[in-house]
Amino acid sequence: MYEPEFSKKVRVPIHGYVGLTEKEVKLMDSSSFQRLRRIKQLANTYLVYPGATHSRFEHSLGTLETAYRVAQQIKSILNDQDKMRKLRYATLLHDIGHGPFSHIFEDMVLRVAKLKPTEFNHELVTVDLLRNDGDLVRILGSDIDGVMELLEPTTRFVEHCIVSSPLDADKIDYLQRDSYYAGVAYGVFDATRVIHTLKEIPGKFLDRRESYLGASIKGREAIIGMQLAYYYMHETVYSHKTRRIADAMLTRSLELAATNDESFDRSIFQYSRNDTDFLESFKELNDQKLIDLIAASSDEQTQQIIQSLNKRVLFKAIFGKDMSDIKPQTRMNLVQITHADAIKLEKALGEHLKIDPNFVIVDRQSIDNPLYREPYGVPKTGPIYFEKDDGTVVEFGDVPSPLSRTRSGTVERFWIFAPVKEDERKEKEKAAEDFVNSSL
Amino acid sequence: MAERRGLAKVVPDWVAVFLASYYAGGKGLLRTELQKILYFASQKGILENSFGLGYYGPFSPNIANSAESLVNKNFLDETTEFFPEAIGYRYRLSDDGKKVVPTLIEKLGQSVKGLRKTVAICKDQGSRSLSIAAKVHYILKMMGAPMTSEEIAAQAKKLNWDISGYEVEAASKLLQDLDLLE
Repeated sequence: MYEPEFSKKVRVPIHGYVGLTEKEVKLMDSSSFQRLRRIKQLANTYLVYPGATHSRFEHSLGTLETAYRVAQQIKSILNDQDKMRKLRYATLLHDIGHGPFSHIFEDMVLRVAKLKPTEFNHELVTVDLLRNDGDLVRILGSDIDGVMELLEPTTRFVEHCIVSSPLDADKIDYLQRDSYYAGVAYGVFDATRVIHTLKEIPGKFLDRRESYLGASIKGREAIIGMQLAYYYMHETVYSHKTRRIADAMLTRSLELAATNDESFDRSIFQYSRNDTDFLESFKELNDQKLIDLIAASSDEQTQQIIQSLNKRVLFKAIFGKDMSDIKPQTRMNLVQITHADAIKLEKALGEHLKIDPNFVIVDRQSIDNPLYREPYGVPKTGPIYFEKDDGTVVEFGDVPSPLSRTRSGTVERFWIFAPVKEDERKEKEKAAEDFVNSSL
Repeated sequence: MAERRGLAKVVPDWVAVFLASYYAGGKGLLRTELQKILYFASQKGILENSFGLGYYGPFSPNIANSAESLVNKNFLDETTEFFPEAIGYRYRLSDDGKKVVPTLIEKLGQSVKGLRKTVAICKDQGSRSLSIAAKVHYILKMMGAPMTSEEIAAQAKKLNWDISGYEVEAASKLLQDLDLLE
């Protein structure tokens, strides 16, 4: 059994002491990793839950510790020094490619650089940094290829699943951590039990994977609890309406600055794979620097929105309905809406509501129900497999349980956000409803 | 035999799922049928090819997710059917779906002609026949060269797909009707 030699221990909430080897301390001290101190894990969620100001830095340490505890359940990793070491490096560094305000930055890059989501995301930036950051290359040495393979896999073994899968170390840590800092109980689940029951599922049961991270059937209840936590945290924290409004306002201020202010530096969003210029400016970016960049814009409307955000004077949701509650033809029209259509829609809404269209935001929201039984055991979040006492392997949806046939699927909502005063709110809400019912 | 590629204007996945369910008529489509019919449509260029190697043949998570999304939006109904060896899920247009389909087809015009034709050829073939035909086509495309029925069956075995040479022959007829085989 391999046990890493720790040269330092760092204390973080949730797990207590996190042990780090000498090389892991050097990785932690690198500028690419230290930058994570200045990027909030939950972006604008602190405007709803004031305690949610924790950083990606401590989450990354927490993920390392969680991955280590999971790996201790897996014999093929526990007895393999190389596998254990690379897994620890990969989980420690898994978030270094996150931009400020995460998806807001990603959406902006996709738009400015005209890329598809598969062509730009934080996972790709993480691998780009590993490949091009001199400090990281030097520290990781000959392990770098193995670490990159775990983060951008070409094959699929159980260690890949500890990095990314429905039961990965990332989720096990952030559900608990985010719940703790938000001050809610929704993310609380029996993580100790979940980890205790995790095991390696051989590939012969699965679709072409070599091996997979699943669980003993005895862990079923704990894992259902984790899936419930995942759903409730999305509903109540990650997708909270007020957070969505704040995110939408920040995105709009960024769009206005990029469109209307010629001196605004759009180059920070011009991404291409392994572009060292992009990576150099990316490493300087954090939440506050992005806010400062936008606030320095000469565009007046950008300024108005940023100042409103700073004072927490947020737009109001003047329309918000589940898509299934919207009349059929309107619903079908909303399904087909593109980004260009949304801009036209906001212009028309602005005229109808007598509000500047640059301050009207339409928003389509999707929340996945992870308990929904997906076809062929391959849901968006990935399959969850259980090994029964007789050695057979079954998929989550086939395990008898009150929840395994849940049919709730994905919740989809349509929102309209706009700056309205309280005394005019009812009037604007009615106008928005009339518009949706008659003009869409 | 060798695979032939088609060219047509691309429709979004959710449109393909919605209209395939419509073109199948009152009985709708089982999940397997939907996946395989849209696999053929993707190979003819009617929609983007998002299909990868699945345990039961070519499979697209995008198609699966689109179907789920349409059910959640009340445009499709999903019903459960019990077969001796498995549970099946069938998709039909819901009442709301029926209300919006004429407008959608009018908007899309000729771009869905190819999809309608593909569904018409496939809709009464049955899940197993469609699944085998999809696997045969996938193998031919993967190997990139003409193969005999026995060679295809042997390759299928390597992929843990149980297909006989006889079944390959039957599948080739369907693929020819779909203009996916030379």
